Amino acid sequence: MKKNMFKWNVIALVGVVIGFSSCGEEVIPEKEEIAIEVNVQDTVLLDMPELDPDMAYSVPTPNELFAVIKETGVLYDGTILNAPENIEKYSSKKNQALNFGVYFTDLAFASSFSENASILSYFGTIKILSDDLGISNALDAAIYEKVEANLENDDADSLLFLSNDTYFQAYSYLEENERGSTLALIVLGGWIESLYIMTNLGEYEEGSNLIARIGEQKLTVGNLMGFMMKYQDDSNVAEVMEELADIEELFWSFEEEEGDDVTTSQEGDVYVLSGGSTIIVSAEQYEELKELVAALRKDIIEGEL
Amino acid sequence: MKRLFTNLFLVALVIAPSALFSQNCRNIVKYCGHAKRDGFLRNGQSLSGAFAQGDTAEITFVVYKDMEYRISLCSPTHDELDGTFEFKIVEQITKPAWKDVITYETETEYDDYGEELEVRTEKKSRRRVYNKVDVVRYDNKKDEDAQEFIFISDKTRKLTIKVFIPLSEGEEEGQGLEAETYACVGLLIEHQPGPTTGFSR
Repeated sequence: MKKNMFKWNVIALVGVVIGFSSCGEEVIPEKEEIAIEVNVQDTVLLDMPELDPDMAYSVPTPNELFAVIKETGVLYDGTILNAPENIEKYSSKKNQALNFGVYFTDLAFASSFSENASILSYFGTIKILSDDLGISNALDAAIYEKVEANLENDDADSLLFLSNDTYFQAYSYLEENERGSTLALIVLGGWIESLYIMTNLGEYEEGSNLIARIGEQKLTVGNLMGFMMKYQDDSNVAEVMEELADIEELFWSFEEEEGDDVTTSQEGDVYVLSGGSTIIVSAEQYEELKELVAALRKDIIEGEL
Repeated sequence: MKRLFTNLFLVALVIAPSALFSQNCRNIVKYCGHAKRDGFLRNGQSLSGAFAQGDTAEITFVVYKDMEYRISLCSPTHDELDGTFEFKIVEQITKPAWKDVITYETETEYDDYGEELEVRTEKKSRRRVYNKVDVVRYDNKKDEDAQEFIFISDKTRKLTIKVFIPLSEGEEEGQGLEAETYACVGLLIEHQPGPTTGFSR
């Protein structure tokens, strides 16, 4: 009996030690060698990386993305966005959460281009969905009055701030109230809508800024999956992760072209990170991506997922 | 058997406060100083969590080309930690290299009497290999322990921040497994469109 007790004590102690050490340790640089056929000089196809369950993964916000997209010189096109009237189609919590992400992305797109009529309309749609999802408490009660006031004053910067802060508040509220699976669906819906908008703003043009920004979403898809992985015990999250698999695999087929050596310099109090590889998207890959995204987005906005 | 339950109870007693603590840390980042007046917007990639003091936490995030970012840390539950965080910004890059590979081929030959002989020949070839290497882009220890990092990037890239959560004054590493060794830490990421020309703000 004493021997058994000793065994249990050891097991319990090992459990504690493992539990605590998984919180993070000084990491030894990971090195991995991928053998590539001879004569492949400048491009590399990387395997899908294994996601580390102990790592925290973050996904960029739609506001941030559209601030970058605007700089590519594309024009606003409101006709490609999800119509506010579609809100009637979303009766399940899953579809409400996915389309909260979609509408928020549409709001971010409209805010980036100061499209006032659309901004008001999408704020209104988000308000209805936030009531349905039980997160309206998270949002500033006076937000709609503020939006209207800023629209009257044509204050684009404040509108952008309000749109960004609304997302941050909803995100924080869900996290705080342990509603991670709802948050995961919102983030995924938003990401798909961002991709849909980007792939419908122009035709494929090799080396263009817009295509470069689309290719760079390869970096985000890994973080998105890592973020969703935390909530995959929820059947709704697991289902949409499955729907995303084809898009994820396509992104991993994008090649990376070696660039300049990486450097970090300093200009005043701002550091500048330079160099590194560039992600390359072929015309065929672009068309395939556009098709896959449009199909998944259609299922989301039709409330058929 | 009674001792077993006593031991499990003790283990639960140790773990429960940290789990509870972990819940209380949710969204703690909202208490971190926000640089709104400098034009920064709070970024959804910011994180909150309960971390063991003396450990290193890792968070990976994506930064866009030509956006300006500000990264800072705070611990509203452990004020004494503010100003003492150590952090590194790391980027995993792929470096191409050539690797000499030696392979052996076995051929069958026949001697003068018609007997089979196995001849092993060495073949040298070069293979292109791609090594993943972690490059430290910023280390606050080399910047007078600065507690914020403001940067801009010429490319969209994925970065990992490794934050060392220091021990509170007077505590020693490996002191025990008490809940007090945990701290709520907020990692605040903020962004704003970067300057179109030059990098000074």
